[in-house]
Amino acid sequence: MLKKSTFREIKTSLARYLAIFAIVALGVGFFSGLRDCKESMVSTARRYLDRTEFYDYQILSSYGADDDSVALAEEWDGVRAAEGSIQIDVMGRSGDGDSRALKCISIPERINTLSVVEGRLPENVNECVVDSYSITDAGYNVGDTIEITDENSKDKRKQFKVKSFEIVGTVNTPVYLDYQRGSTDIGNGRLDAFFFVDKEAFDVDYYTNLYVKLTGDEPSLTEEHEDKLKAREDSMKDLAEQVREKRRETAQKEAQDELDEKKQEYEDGLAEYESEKADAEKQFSDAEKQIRNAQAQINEGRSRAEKGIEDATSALNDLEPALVEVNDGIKTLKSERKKAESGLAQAKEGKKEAEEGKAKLEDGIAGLEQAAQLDPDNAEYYAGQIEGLKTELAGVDQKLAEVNATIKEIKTGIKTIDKKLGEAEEGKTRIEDGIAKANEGISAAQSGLAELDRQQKKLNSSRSQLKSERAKAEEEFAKAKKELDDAKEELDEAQQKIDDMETGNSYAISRKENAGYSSFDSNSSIVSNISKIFPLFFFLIAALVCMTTMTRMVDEQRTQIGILKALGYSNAQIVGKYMFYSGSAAFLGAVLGFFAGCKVFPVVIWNAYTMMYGFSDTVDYIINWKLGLGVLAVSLLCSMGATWVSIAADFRVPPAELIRPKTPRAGKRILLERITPLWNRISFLYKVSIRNIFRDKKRFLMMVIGVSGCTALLIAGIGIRATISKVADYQFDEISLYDITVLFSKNMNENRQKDFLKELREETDIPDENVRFLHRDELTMVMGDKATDITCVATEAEGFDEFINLHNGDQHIDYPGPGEIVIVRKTNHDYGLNVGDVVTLREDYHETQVKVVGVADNYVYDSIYMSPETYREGFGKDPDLKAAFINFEEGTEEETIRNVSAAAAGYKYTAAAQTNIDVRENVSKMMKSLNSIVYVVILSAALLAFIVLYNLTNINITERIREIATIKVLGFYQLEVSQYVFRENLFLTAVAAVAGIPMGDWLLKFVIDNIVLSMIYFEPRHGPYDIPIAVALTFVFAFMVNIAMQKRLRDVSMTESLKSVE
Amino acid sequence: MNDMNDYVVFDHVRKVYHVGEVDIEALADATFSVAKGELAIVVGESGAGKTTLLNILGGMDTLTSGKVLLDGKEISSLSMKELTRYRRYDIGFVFQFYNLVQNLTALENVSLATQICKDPLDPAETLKAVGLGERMYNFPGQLSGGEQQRVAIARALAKNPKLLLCDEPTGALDYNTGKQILQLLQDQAHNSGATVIIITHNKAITPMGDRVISVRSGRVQDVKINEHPVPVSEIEW
Repeated sequence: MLKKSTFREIKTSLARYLAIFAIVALGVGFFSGLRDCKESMVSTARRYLDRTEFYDYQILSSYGADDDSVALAEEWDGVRAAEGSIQIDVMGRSGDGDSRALKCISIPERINTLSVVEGRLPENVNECVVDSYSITDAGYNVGDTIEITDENSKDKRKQFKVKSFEIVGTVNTPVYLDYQRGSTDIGNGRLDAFFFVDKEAFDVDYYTNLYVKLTGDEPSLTEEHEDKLKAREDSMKDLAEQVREKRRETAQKEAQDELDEKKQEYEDGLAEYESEKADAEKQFSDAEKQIRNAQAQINEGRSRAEKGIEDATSALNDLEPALVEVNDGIKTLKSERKKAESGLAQAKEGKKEAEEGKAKLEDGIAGLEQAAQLDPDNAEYYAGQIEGLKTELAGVDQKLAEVNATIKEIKTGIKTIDKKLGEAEEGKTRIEDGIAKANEGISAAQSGLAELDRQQKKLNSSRSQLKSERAKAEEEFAKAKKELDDAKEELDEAQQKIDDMETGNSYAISRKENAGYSSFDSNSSIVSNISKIFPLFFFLIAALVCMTTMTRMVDEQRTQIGILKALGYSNAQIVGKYMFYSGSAAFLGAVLGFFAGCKVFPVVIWNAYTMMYGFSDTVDYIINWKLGLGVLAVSLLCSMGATWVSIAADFRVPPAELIRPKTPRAGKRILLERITPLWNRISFLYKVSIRNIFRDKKRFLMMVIGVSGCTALLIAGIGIRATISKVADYQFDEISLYDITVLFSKNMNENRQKDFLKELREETDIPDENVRFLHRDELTMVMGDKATDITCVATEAEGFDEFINLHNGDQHIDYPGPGEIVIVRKTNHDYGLNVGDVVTLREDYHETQVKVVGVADNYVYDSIYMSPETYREGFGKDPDLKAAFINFEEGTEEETIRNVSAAAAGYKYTAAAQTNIDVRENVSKMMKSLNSIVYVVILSAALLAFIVLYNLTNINITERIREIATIKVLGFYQLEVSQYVFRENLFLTAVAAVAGIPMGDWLLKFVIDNIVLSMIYFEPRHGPYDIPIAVALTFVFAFMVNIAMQKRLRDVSMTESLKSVE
Repeated sequence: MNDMNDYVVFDHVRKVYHVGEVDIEALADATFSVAKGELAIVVGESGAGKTTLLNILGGMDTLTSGKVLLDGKEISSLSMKELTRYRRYDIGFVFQFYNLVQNLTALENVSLATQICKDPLDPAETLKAVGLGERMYNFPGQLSGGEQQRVAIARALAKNPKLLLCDEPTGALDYNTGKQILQLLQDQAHNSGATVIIITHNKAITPMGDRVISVRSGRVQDVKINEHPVPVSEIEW
């Protein structure tokens, strides 16, 4: 029967039953859901990390690694697997898009395996898969092609066999768990994305990174795993050293071989040079000799010709007068002959005359003789004439003989002349021949000379050609020689380098230093810290609401309890009924709340975090049974305990009294009324409200606790957001004023500083004082029995304010003097270190005691500051300058800063350069995703406020339904009725909101204090409007509840006023 | 036209409640009137419909058909808001269980009503008039039932209403106290000229009324006018 009554009770008061159910469900849901978040997130990440075999340690050495290193690592004690990875940063471009700084990584097979998001893995060297997170940012799509652009250095391009890759898919890698892609020394210094290609696509014979998985199956993100990492750290360092040492030997040998090869090349080159030079010399000298010979020949020919001409000329000179002589001789001879001939002709004439005279005489004789004969008579006369003729004849005969002799003589003369003439003619011919010959010789010699001239000319041109060729050749040889000398110098330098090859550095970097992994770790602990206190608050409120509801119910049912008791039901039976009522509601609520909360909250939080972590769209549904049973027990305890307490009070009075209506609580004057002047001023509609508020202390308290809790949650929620999201702004606007941090691999002495500045100034003009070279290194700080590694900055005090503004609140902190240090707030917070404390600093094997003289505000990173003297005296050496801060004038364009950063990164001794823009972006982005938690908190605060206000208002209305009905009958307008009831609510809300401010402040501090991140220190800060906003929101919720309750009030039937008091 | 006899008029009033699919006729056909300054008593058994009648007259409920008039103003056609104004200015209500606000003193309880009236009486004076001059600063919890009911009456009277409606005003009181309350109400009608309607199941008190309206099964069975109402002190029950 009682059971029946119980179920009927539930049915008739379903609203109340559901209210308990709902508040328990909500309380439990929030509590266990938020509590569960970290575990869900961690479990999701853990599965991912373990499935993809995320590395435990990364071994880096100055000399890279190779297959031997991998083998060495695999044999190493405590190592389960090792794999080498090639990672090269290149500028890549797809289509005609902008070129991007990309990290090209060889596709891993065993460690850090890829999970394909879209498409497939590459099947050949011409294919690649890209970063699924940054693919759209980088402007790539599956099907596009990534080209290794020409802007990459030749050496870099040489490292790739394939220079164009088709994108066949997108992947996630555990190495980049979150959005951070890191920095690089190419482009603007920031890596845009990564892509994976087949190992064969590279043209390198070493690995840049060596990943190691440790033995043991401790799941990721557990303390056991962290312990393991810590325990194996030294062993890994040893491994790294060995890898480095082996690699160094190999590298030294390889380098030596390479150098030897180069040296050989140089020697060959030198030999070739020399032989070529000798050849050339010989050729040139041969040519010169030839020219010389030719010249000699020409000269000889010329002198011969000239002599010939001279001889001929002198012969001519002899011959010509001879010719004239001969001709004269001939002429003389000829005229002699002519004379002789004319003498002959005379002689012949004489002869003819003589012969004619003879013939005439003979004829005269023969005519006389004949006449004598015929005139012998004058015979004597005749005879005497004959005789006289005869004598005359004899005279003629004599004469004739004489003429003949003359003729003969003449003729001999002529003959002699002719002979002489012939001789002369002959001589003449001979002379003439000689002249002709001489002339011929001259002209021949002259043409020979012309030829010689021509040859000379030719010879001259070949001579000058030879000369210029020689000069050219000499120049070239000089150049070659210089090149060779340079090469020699380089080789010597290289040899020196190899000879001096440093031990180099080796690092064993645990996964905890992986940006994505550690940010996940931090973020999940922030979630866990925030979810530690908030849900508890919620849970408390739920218990409170549950309690008041049950108390109210028992109160209402007082008469019924009396009747049941009067009827003879045992206390246990009656208690059982109400216990079952509240217990079942709480049980159902807790179960639903637990399972739903564990399901919903991690999903909500995870969705916010997928902005940062793209590796899983879904979050694990973790059921923490221990937590579940705990909350169930507490829920039951609260609801049933409240019921028990309420009923127990009723059991103390006799049933008869229970059956009678409970005497209404008497009206009572409150303290305020004693202040008559004030009280009299209050309209008694307000008096009613005020009296009501203070009359029911329990309700007052509940309302104030509940609503102030809501205000506190809002203040804390908004405060967390302000604190966290502004951390970067605070740090970089107020403290770290510099823009770029550069770390160097070598101590920056004055020359290097100059070189470095020169390189920077190629980008933009930076004044000297804007670049601060300083000492920045890790050392160990010992505080009593605690020790920590901390970054130590040692630099001159002067002008340092421009780089880092050390201050504590509004108070400026002077840069520490000798024997003093300034610490930052995180150290103060984490280790309780304060001004005036003395700590020990340890560097290598030196220790020094210093005094803390200031605690500086600082949010991102932590360090201590000291003067160089402190360092020098403390550690017995000069602080090396292996870091620099670069500061820009306010308002310098981001691009300029980035370019300078890239230029700084390009300097040969730069190990890393990072802009604060990037740090700031990273921090901001990380912090932004925390907003989701804040929204959850704000939403839950709102819900909480709503539930508390609704519940209490509801109870208030229920309790005063008669009063409300009465004032309605009295003719109060709807609005007046509402005000009559809600005035109390608003008043209570106001009180609660004010009470909530310090609570919120405390809550914020508590939560923030509990967020311990390795990199970041949070200091609880309220934004200027945070508190007003939180209070205003509380009022908004109160108003919303009032509005929601209006209908309830309107529905209060006036006939209630007519009912009898129960 | 305002006939003094027709100060309150119920004209064929019918009220049907819809409960689920069942129609319950709370008032079938109620017709009566009350004159100004009269003390009228509506009497009937439980379930006769007298509470419905009270609700309608008190402006707390609407009617299904018919007409209700007070001082010539038709109430049956008023809107909810007008009904509130009607209750506010025209009606004084005395409840069976007093319905005092526990948190307010006697004086304040009266003031609660006068606060919202146009032409209220002085609360303190009214309390004095009902014989509570000494106790006006007491909380209801500190008063006896009769005193509480006096406060309630004072609260109703102080509004200076056109009509004083009393729902079983003696229901929660002992005999003597009840008589004192009834006397107070009769005095109000006869001496102060208030129009008072008392709703009761107690037939014994009917002689005190100027007019007795008997209700049965949702109908006005009988309206009897007492030319000479009996003083309360003479009534016994």
